[in-house]
Formats: sequence, C-alpha cells, structure tokens
Amino acid sequence: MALALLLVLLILALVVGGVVALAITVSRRPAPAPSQAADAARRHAIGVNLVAWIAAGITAVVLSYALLDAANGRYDSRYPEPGVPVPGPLLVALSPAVIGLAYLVVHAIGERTWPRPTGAVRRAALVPRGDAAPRWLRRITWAWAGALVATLVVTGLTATDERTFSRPDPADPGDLLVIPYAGWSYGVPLIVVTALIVAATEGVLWLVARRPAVIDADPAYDAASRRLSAHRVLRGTQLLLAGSLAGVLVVTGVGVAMVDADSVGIGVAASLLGYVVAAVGVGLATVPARPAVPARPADMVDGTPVPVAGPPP
Amino acid sequence: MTPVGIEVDLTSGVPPYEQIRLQVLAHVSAGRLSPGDRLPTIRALATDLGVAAGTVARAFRELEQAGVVATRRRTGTVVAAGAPTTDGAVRRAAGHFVATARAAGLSDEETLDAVRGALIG
Repeated sequence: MALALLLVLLILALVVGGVVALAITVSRRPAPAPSQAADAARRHAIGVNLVAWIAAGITAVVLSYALLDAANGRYDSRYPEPGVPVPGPLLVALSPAVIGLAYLVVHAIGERTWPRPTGAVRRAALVPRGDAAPRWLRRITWAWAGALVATLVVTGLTATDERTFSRPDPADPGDLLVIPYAGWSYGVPLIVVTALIVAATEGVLWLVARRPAVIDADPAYDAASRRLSAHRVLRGTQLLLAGSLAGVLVVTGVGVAMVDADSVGIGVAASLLGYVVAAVGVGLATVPARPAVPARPADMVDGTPVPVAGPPP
Repeated sequence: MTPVGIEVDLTSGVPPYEQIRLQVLAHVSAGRLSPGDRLPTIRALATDLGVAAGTVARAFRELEQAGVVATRRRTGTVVAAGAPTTDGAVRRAAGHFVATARAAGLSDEETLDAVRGALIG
C-alpha cells in the first residue's frame, strides 16, 4: 500500500507538472523569432520538450501497471529467498530513474539533433561558451537530491530491518506493529538512482552548452535559447527528485506516526514536509522560463551592431 | 561589452581556416580583442560554424605560431600578451577611411584595392 502511495505521488506530480507545462507551452503566444534559423531552433526545442514530457508520462503509466502487479504479489514467488528484495521495492526505487532517464534521454537526443548551421555563409561569436543553466534552479535540483539522499540515510539507519519499521503494539505488547519503511533495500537503489539522475542532468546541460549556435540571430538570442533549454531540463528533473523526496517523507511520516506513539509529532511533521516539497516541486515545474526572443535583428546587441569581420574579399 | 563575431564563406576561394585566421587577426589588430581575452574552444567554434574541428585547429595553430594567441591549460585559447595591435592613430584613420569608402558605395574588395593602390604608389 505504502509502495503504491509512493509511486502514485510520483506519477501525480509528473502528470500535473506535465499537463500544466503543456498548457503553458500551448497557451503562451511566442514572440516572433528574429530569423529563420532561430525559428527552426525554437520549433525544435518546443517539440523536444513536449516529447520529453510525453515519454516521461508514458513511462510512469507503464511502471504503475508493473507496480500494481508487484503489489498483488505476482512477482514474490520468483524471489523466494528471504532478505532478497522483491521487484516491488526495486521497482519503486528504480521508477524515478526510469522516468527521469526517459525524460533526459529525449532531451539529450534533442540536443544532439539540434539544427546544424546551413548555407554557404556561417557565422559565430568569438566568445567562450558560458554555463547556460539558471543557477537557482540548478541549486534547487541539487538540494532536492541532497535532501533525498540524507532522508534515505536517516531512514536506513532507523529502519528495524531492510524494509520495515516496527514497534511493540500498545494494545498487545507481545505483538508488533510493522510498516513498510525505506530501509536499505529501498534506500541504496534510490541513492544510486538519484546520483544517476543528477549525473545525467549535468550531462544534458553539458550538451546544451555545447550545441551549435543559432547563426543568424544575435548572440543574446542564442544565449537566451540555451538558458531556456537548460531551464526545461532542470524543471523536469527537479520535479522528479522532489516527487521522490515527497514520497519518501510522506510514506515514512505517516507510517511512523501510525506505529510509534513517541514519534507522532516527527511523523506528522515529515509527512507535512513531504506535501510541501511536492507542492514546491510542482510549482517550480510550472514556472515558465524566460522566452529566448529579444526580437532584434541580427548583428544588433543592445541597439549596437555586433562587429563581424566577414570573410576576406 | 559588444561581442565579436566572425563569418566564414564556404564558397570563397579563401580556405575556411585562412578566413578564420585573418578575421581573428583583424579583430586583434583593431583592438576589439585585447590580450587575455578568451576565445571559444576549437570544438565550440567548429560546431557553430559547421566546419571540421581540424579547420579551426589549423587557424588557431597558425595564430599561435604568429604569437597572436596562446593556449593555456586552464583558460584555453586566449589573445597573447604580445599580440600585434595597430597604433591608435592608424586604427582611427583606418576606421575613418572605411567609413568614407562605404559612404562612397565601395565594396570591401574595392576598398582594399584603394589601400593596395596607396601602398604601391
């Protein structure tokens, strides 16, 4: 039950975020691109973003079916050895990675297939590439990842065994109240997966910073376009990590409050914190990035022409 | 600060690496690139221009041999401290001459012909 709740939360966060992002993308009237190449680049970026959300959504739905199977115990007979994690916990633990990697792989393919320079005359700015990612969103993404790992370490250390948390039943001291808990069976794969997602995100951001420039628009347009792409990548990743963190906090908090009378306050606080994290994650996922269009003609930056040496006559 | 750009014409008779070399040299000479200014990486510039990395590498290598740029391990390719720059008065005169030529409707090639004519006169 708790496993299902974890994934449901994750899927809910993804679906809500995806729907809102889609609505924003569709409803916002984009400013005109300053050039043909810029227009092609913008269409490419919007398409990649939509496909990434759809891929993440489809993956989440497929995983939820698999999880329901696992919750029904269909897989248990295949892993009868005690102490060996059944696919249920592993599936839950690996779900964020699979969903996140589906999202990030689409973005990575989108960056690798970014429109290449065409035509006989090619232009480029003689300035080094900077970091395109919005710093605040990158910090939040890392913060979610750090908080998730820290939470999993705490739950791993406080778990009764690999997968449960138990306390004596006050009504029957000879009996135990047992809840599913993010012990090391869940925690270790989730920590590995979190590291994988963060590494994959940084990899996609690296691709964003190194893709071909939009050649016939001014350099400010190209920089803004990269910032927009990085924002989209981080927006989805932080939602995924926030969803995972929220799931762990809510499931752990509710469970602890139910079985440990001495820790009701901590349990309620953890679950409330989980809901706050989920709300913040969804909220951040719907924050629109600044559009990449300072609609000015090529060769103009801040109203002054960009000196282009031009090919030797 | 206004960004500096270059343009490569693939249909030109001048090889792309030479076009890159000449334009970087022109920007340094005109003072638009100063000693210590960082240039994009070979791979980034090649990606933006849609040319082979070896083309940009050759241009940078020749600029390095001429003392125009220097390659440092941490900062990449930068404009060298001793890069040749044109005297300020000459640069201003050149700017004035180019403005006059353009006002007169001369093409770049015709403007250069006028300079060549003055040089051999």
